[in-house]
Amino acid sequence: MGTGREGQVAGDMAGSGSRRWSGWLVAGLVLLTGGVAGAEPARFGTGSKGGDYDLLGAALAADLEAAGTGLTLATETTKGSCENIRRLLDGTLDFALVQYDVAAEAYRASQAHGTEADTRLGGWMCKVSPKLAREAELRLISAVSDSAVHMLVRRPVRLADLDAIGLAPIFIGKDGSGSFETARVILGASGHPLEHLQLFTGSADEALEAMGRRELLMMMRTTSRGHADVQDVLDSGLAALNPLPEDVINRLIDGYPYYRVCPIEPKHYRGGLEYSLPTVCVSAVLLTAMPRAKVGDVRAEAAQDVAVGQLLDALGRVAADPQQHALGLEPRFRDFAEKEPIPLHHAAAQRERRANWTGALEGAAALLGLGLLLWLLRRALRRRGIATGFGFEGQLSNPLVPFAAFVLVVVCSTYVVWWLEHDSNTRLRTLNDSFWEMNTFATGNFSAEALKTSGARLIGAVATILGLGLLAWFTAALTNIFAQDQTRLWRRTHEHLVVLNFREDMLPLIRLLRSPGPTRLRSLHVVVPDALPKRVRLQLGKIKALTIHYDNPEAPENLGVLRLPRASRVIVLGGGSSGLGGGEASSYDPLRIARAVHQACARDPHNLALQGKSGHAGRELTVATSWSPGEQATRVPLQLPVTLVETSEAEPDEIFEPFSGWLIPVDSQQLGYTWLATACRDPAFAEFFSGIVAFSDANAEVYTVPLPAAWQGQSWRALRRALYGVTAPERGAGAVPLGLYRASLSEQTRRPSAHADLRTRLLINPPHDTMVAAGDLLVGLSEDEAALRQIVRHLRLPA
Amino acid sequence: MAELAATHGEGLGRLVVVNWAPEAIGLVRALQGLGAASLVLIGTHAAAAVEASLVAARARGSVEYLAASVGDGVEVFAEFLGRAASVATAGSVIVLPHRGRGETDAFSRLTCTAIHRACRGQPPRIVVAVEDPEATHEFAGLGVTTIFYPGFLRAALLAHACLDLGVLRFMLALLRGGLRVQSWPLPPELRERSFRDACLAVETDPEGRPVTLLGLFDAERTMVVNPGPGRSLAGATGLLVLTGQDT
Repeated sequence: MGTGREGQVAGDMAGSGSRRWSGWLVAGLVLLTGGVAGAEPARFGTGSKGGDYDLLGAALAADLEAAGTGLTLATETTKGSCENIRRLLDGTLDFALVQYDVAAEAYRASQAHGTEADTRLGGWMCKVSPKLAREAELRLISAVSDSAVHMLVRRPVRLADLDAIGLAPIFIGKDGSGSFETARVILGASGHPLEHLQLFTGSADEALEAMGRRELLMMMRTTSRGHADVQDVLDSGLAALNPLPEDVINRLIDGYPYYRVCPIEPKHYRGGLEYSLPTVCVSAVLLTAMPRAKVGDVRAEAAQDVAVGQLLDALGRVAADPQQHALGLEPRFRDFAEKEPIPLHHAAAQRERRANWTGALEGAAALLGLGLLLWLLRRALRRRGIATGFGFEGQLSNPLVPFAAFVLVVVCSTYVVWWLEHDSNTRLRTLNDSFWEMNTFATGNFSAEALKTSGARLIGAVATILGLGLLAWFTAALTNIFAQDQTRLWRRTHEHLVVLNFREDMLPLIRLLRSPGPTRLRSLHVVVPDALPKRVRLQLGKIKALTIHYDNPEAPENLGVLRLPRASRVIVLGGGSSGLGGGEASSYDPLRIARAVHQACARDPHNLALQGKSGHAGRELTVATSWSPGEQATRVPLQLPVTLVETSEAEPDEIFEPFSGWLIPVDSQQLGYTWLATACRDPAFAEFFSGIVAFSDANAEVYTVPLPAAWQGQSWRALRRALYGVTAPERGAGAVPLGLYRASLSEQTRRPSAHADLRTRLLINPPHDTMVAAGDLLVGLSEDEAALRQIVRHLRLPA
Repeated sequence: MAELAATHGEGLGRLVVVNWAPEAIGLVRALQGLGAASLVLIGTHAAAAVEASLVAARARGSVEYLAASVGDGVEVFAEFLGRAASVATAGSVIVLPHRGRGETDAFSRLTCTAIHRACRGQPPRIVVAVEDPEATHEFAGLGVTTIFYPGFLRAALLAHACLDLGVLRFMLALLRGGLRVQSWPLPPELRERSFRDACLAVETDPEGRPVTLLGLFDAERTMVVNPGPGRSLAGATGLLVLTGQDT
């Protein structure tokens, strides 16, 4: 059988509307009647004997014969792609293997117009004239394999561009082969017509020998990646693979979009390549042709459909045959070149559609299965009480969400841009290239130069915008975490300050505690009553590192969160004493708050651990409480914070006597009156007191600092005289010693605690013969605490 | 040091307290505790209404209560202060906040204006307690010696308590009268010496009790606390001394 020799049957049946149906009918008839059985064999053009094309042709012929389909291939060795395309066009071959660039050029030639063009050979590959090209309609059956352009350059030369070739001898294959034509257009893309180059005329083996004699600079071969011949050359050390210059690749693909950018990877040549090399690939395709005169001939078309179908079946079988693995077959209908102008054969197109449908159905089934799996998983988790809701609002502050979205954007855009441009863009040869390019885009570095197509640029722009937004979200989420950490830091309940029953006129206290100094670094917890005006709450809310608790401070359970035993100080304010000469009703009673503090401390986990079951907290609420003899003596003392309670005239200090071990009552109103009276008595008092209280700029702040152990046993006179003789080395300011702050003797036998401060004695203006004892602190006036410490550190004992 | 003891006064003499109310009985106690010989209290309450609260105070010393207010008019009140309270001869005048009639500190300023006029521009020591520290500048030119902001005192005491209990104890000792800050004249033999020399020379009071030299008053009578051991005493007009003990 041969489509070219098929008789013209039923030519009149070629109506445009019914052509398809009639074609099916005829094809069915052909099959039922044994169609191709007993017909002449189909002429199949391969290539040079022993070459890849020849081997593939033989494999197909053998498969068809073994399958007994009735289609017989008569393989014919040829000089390669040029002869094959010519013979397809002139009708002396039914099928042929052709390099796609050659085939596409012939197809383009068939689109040329004008009689003048017909009479000339023109510049198409293999010198196919438009007249010849129009004699038959080329039809693509399938792409079968890939070939890459290998530029082998004599070691140790490396070519940065092809201008360096100059007049050095080069080998680009035999004239008439597809490899030769490809090399010709590559050199043309670099601005070198073959006429100006010194081409080596000989076989590939001879060229290799010439290179060994250093008579040949470069060989250019278009062959499959990993080809044994190239591996041999690399192994011999004669030559190394050279990348095709990027600008040449770009110009080549711009002019001949039948190639695609592809890399030669190290995996293709063991030990011959360290890094991926950019080059161009071109596919070998299986073609058939229908003479123009028979185009539309139903019988001829049907016969060709049947033959093509059987050939595709054979191709699939050969590709799947492990013994034919060396041929590197990868049958494809699409996506093997940047542009694929030759129309797909009708039978091949049908198979492509069928394959697409199958793929779509498989994809849908996979998605459905995945969805079902997730649904089942979620249901199972819910049954086990594990929350599965995403809670988008809750995830807004999670930096992993924008990070994951960023990764998703980069990955998706990587794949899409690579898919769009990997055949044509030398910067996006691999997914790896595309990934890093998209990372650049997504971090805000959009560049129109990096991408070639509008689609890819659009994806790049979207990735840039999304990436910037997600990065901003990511940054904001991180900042939020840091802020929350800082908030947690300021809310910590260790060595913290607690103010209970806060009122408006004590805002200066908060300002002082938050002014520069040691207390500024301590967390501050303020419990405010409901009656506190909203404007004051708002004002408190603006103060940094302050936590407001809206609770009743008389209820011990409300104070539990404050971890009072670990507090540095607790301040209990009176309810309404806002000035001299009068007061308002107290909303919460300081004494009841003090009791609540005691109770809250007794319930604190730390004290519970110390107390055990017999402790204060173990006492249940009941009608009456009985004390067993000696119970108090055996009790482990509670850990209680040093607490200052603002009292008033109505609450004499005596009522706080039960708490005297840890509580200091401060009648601030009476102290105010005393201040006024003292200011009247001692004119200098007011100014001096204001200076030391307000941390004024003068060297008049009062601090207590420990004394060196060497001073123990020395007299106060000696100490003060020594202090008068020293100035702070770095500041030059002096100190005025006021006295000693002495630890009580009873304290030395007990474990240290915050209560030690309460059991100490202040010795201001002590007798001069007072001896400095262990644990004594110096009370002195100085510029600041650091200056006083410096002065004490530089004290010298008297001789 | 005998000559030093003779230069600093003891006791408060006669004092006038304006805008006094029975709730401020603590001030009376404090003044009497520091040796106020005679107190004149001026307030808006009726005399009969305050008598009960003054019984104990009168047992300790002379206490006179007068009902009057600057709300009657500055001139009228000034005339009253001069005539009934003899404010010009008082050792000190304390002006308390007067609540219930407009802005408290504004009334205190009017009160000081009345005192200033009653004394014909030569008022005694005037100590004013204000509620708003921003009102301080309004008292300029009225002869006010000291403006006291009780709110800040409370806050400062509690803030110091959070920082250092020893310092709080020291301040309480100053307030409760255990310690005193006094100005002493500069002994002639120290005029050409340094502050360190003065600290070493002035170690006790005339009774032999230990004292501490805190600072000095310069030629303009400005208080300089802790001037540094090398500071020359040339030109100094007095010494700032901490006396008393607190244990």
